[in-house]
Amino acid sequence: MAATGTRARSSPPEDHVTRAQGSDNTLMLVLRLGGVALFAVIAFWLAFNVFQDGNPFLSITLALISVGVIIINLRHDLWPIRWMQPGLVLLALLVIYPMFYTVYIAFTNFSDGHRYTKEAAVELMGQTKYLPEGGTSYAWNVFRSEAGDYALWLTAEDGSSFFAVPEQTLQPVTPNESGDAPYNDDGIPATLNGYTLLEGGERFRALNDIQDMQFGTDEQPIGIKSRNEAGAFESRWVFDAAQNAVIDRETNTPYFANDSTGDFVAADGTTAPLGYWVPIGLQNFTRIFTSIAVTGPLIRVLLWTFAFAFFSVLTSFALGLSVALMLNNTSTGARIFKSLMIIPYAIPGMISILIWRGMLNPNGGVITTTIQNTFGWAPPWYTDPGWAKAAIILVNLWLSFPYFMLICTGALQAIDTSIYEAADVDGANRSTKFWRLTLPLLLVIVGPLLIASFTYNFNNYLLIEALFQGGPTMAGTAAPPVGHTDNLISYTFRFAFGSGGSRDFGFASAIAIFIFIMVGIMTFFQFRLTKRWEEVN
Amino acid sequence: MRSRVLIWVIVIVALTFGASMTVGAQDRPDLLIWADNTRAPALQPLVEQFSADFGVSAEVQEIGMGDIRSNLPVAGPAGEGPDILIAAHDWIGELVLNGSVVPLDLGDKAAEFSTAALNLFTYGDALYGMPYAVENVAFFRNPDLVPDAPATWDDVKAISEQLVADGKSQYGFLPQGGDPYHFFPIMSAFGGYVFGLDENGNYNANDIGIDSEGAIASAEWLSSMVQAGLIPAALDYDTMLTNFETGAAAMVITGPWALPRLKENGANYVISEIPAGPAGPGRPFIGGQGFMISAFSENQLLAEAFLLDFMAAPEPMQALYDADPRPPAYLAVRESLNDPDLIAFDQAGAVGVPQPSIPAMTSVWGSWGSAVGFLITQEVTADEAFKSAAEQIRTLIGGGELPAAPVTVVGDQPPADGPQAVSIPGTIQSAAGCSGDWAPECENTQLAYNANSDVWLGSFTLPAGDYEYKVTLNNAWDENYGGMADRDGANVALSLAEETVVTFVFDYKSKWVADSVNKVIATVPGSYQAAIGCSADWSPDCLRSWLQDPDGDGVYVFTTTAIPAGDYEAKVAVNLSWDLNYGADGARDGANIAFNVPADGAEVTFSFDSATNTLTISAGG
Repeated sequence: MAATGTRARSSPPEDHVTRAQGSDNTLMLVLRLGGVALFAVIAFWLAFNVFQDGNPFLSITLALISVGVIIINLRHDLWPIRWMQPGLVLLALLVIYPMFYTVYIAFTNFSDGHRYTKEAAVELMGQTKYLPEGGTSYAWNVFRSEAGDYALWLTAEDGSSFFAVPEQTLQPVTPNESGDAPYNDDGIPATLNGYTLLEGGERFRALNDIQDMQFGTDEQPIGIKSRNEAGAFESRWVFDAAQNAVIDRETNTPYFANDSTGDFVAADGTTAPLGYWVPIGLQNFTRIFTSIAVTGPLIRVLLWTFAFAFFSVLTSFALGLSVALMLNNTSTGARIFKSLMIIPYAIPGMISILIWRGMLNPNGGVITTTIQNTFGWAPPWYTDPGWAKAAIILVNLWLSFPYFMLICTGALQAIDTSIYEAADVDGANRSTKFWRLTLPLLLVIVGPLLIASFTYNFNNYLLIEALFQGGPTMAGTAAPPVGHTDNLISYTFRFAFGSGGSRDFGFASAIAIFIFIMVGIMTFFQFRLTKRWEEVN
Repeated sequence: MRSRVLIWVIVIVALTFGASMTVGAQDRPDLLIWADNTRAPALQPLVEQFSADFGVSAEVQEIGMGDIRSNLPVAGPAGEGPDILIAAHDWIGELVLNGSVVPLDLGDKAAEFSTAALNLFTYGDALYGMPYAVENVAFFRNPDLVPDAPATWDDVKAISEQLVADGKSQYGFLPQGGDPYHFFPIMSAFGGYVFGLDENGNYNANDIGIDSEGAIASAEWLSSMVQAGLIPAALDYDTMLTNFETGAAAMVITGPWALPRLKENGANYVISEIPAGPAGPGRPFIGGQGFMISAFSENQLLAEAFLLDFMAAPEPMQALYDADPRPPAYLAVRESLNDPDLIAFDQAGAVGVPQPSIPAMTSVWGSWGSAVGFLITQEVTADEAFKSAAEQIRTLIGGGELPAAPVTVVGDQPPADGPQAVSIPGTIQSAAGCSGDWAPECENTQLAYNANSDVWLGSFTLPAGDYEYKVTLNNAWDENYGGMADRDGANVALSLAEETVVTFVFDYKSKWVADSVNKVIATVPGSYQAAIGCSADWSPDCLRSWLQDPDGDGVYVFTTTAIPAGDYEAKVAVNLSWDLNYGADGARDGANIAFNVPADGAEVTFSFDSATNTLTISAGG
């Protein structure tokens, strides 16, 4: 181990392990602590930034992980874990954290229209400005003094002009008279009271400085609203903590915060422009059972999901095993053939699926045309539910049989050939040997992989969506439209995101948990089943 | 030992937090623009020029078109979002729902953009973007197979049947499969709609027209095409265009995005307006692209200045057009447009309606698309398909609390001091698909206000027969006129020997209504037109120079004092196009007629005698 171990960042020198614990030499200690310190700086800097970006949960997770890593590397009694820490860190960050977060989101109304916290929603609404009654809106030009102070030349719609400096009352000015020539087309002077009119790049660069400045006095404040308007603009929406409401100051209407739905609602039932997200308890889960399960064609979708996963595994395992058995020798021909057979597996699935989609196209697709020309009739892959399902299983067979061919080839090598000799002695024929010896022994080895493959296909979104987008559509279902080839995951995706209006992340998370539970139950029973196979051994 | 470890942990944590505070602020350009892969390369040189000219750091970041929309509310609050984004107009509903964009005040720059494009980017009562391109689909035909543009969808079917029967091509007209966006022009020709309008002329999410009579009539039309064996199953964009390119299909509906491909493959095509149906012309959806400002931007003022003081000028807009040619929204570029294809698209879009940008629209596409798909597969009847789609959409919209957010639509905004609606009630209404006659409020016989010409216009396809009509303002009988600009005057009779597309024009200034059958809809295109407010000189479709004949004596007169002193030329054009025009001495396609305006403000009278087709121009002092 000392000779082959890789030097992980922040891990101790390898020979450390072979020495007695606690006999650090100083150089190694400094190196180790330096490594840990460097890691900590980077990790906490990341955590801090994530926090500043408004994601406290991820930030806390990162910080906890970092503290864990530091402790692991500083404590001698935890040294065995040091070799596992990259895996542990990734597990925590990519599996455990998203799981907790998904569960958390499932209990909220996080969705379009309710994407921000209450504070953030109020702050966003605060950006809307309005001009209180009696206020004047001015066109503006910006001036700057030698000292870097800014001032505005304001022109009202009635033509009256003012010069506005922070904390001073507005000074009436006259175009083409006040200040020093040259005047521009609007009669604005190049310099005035020691201020110079900014133009071109200087004006552009000044904009970030002046956009939040207040000119004039507190009694007559002038702020910049937009490139065209300045004046005594004020925020239209202001939060009033006493009433727990945002006030529309233009109409003086309070919109009371409803902290159980995450909306600001006025007395007449209208809502403020933005809502916010709040915990809503089990509502998303009850919605699954009141909307999808009851009103949607869930049973049909579920049956097809099971059928698709089952037939996909069955057909691709059968074909993979057959090819593996046929090519179960070391001749050059068999090896070349096996290499060729891997090609479908090596091509990215998305590309294969799109090629298949093209080949099955009823208008000039090569497969359809060939069948059409040979038999005078071709299966309506795109439009007939049964043929569409057949096409999906066919394409999945192409995509996944090389995988089973590979593992079966390997597994066949692992079977002790002496049992076949024993079978020959007992007078077994080839078919008996396959069904009574090869297959049961093989199933013990590849059983878990079959289960994994079943689970994968149960959740196979890519194939379903890329081949026919769930089509052909089922007639007469409730919203949203469901296709005959939609499986559970593509159907629920459509339900949560597809055409269901705004995107509802809380609801989608609840669906994800629902699917997780279903897959979990299924896997549990399948493992029970494989235990039975193992007893054969 | 243990305490030493603990101390180390505490020291390191404290140090790093201290360090984090100081490094927390990240370097980002003053102006960050999100654009997709077609727009980003076009913007890159412009933004570099802006940076160099004005010393403001600016950057274009390439983001997938769909990702711009969905990433903005995620990246924005995290401080990673753009200041400016390239967006499609129909995202506005969702972006506003999430508070992700801020209104943009174009000020006097608004006049430099086409009204239709600005309407697209108006949501509620605010403008949310600076448009740069407008898009719509148009009708493509192969002139070898179909020499003349079909006028109606019934013609399209007849031509398709003929072509197939004669063996000239495999198919006649091909739709883009079950795609609802491309089906809408057909649906609207039959009077179908997606969302009805509320009293302010905004889309109303509670009025779904997918199962309206017109929509079902259009579905039945497409269904009859399929039943006649004229449309195969499982068409998509590629197969449709391939068929068109090879001459296997004679007619399709598609947009400017297909042009590069059609040209490359040497397709023989002519672009024309969408054929009409019983409810008038086929109206495509109009869509637009433009710039929006992120609500999360800390440099909104700079972003506004970049758009208004740099981008909204002829050179940058021209550069953007050259790099990515789409019908421009910026008038200076639009007027210099010389690509005949884009001009044809523009004409087809003249009767278009804005593609709804209210959030409820996202609930419509899926169900509506399935319904159109069912027409092709014939799995259920047209009636059933569209009724069940409408039910699905109502469920979806009812289920999610969608605000009935308003948008401005159809035609231009009429001036506040005139009527807000003009309609043609009469016995023509039941023929135009209304539920009864003499009903001013019926949507099928509404005229649309045209700001360019300051008149109200509408075209309806009517079967042969004898009809009567009047014109009413504001959808009520309170103010109505007969055919002599006479208030409460007599009904106007209209006799049609065959099915005809009848155009109605009403001028609120003179209160005169004319139809294209009884009267001659004639204008005076000439070198003076821009001076009287037309978008360009020599525009036969500019009704600001409309020749009117309220007294019915056959002499049509147009008088103006808006032409500045100078020498001009003019002709007479009938039915708003050059197809039928008269020059000097009443000769068809004759020479231009020259005239002189002696002084600014002089009254110029154009009078056209419809018996002799002669135009007389007199300019008084």
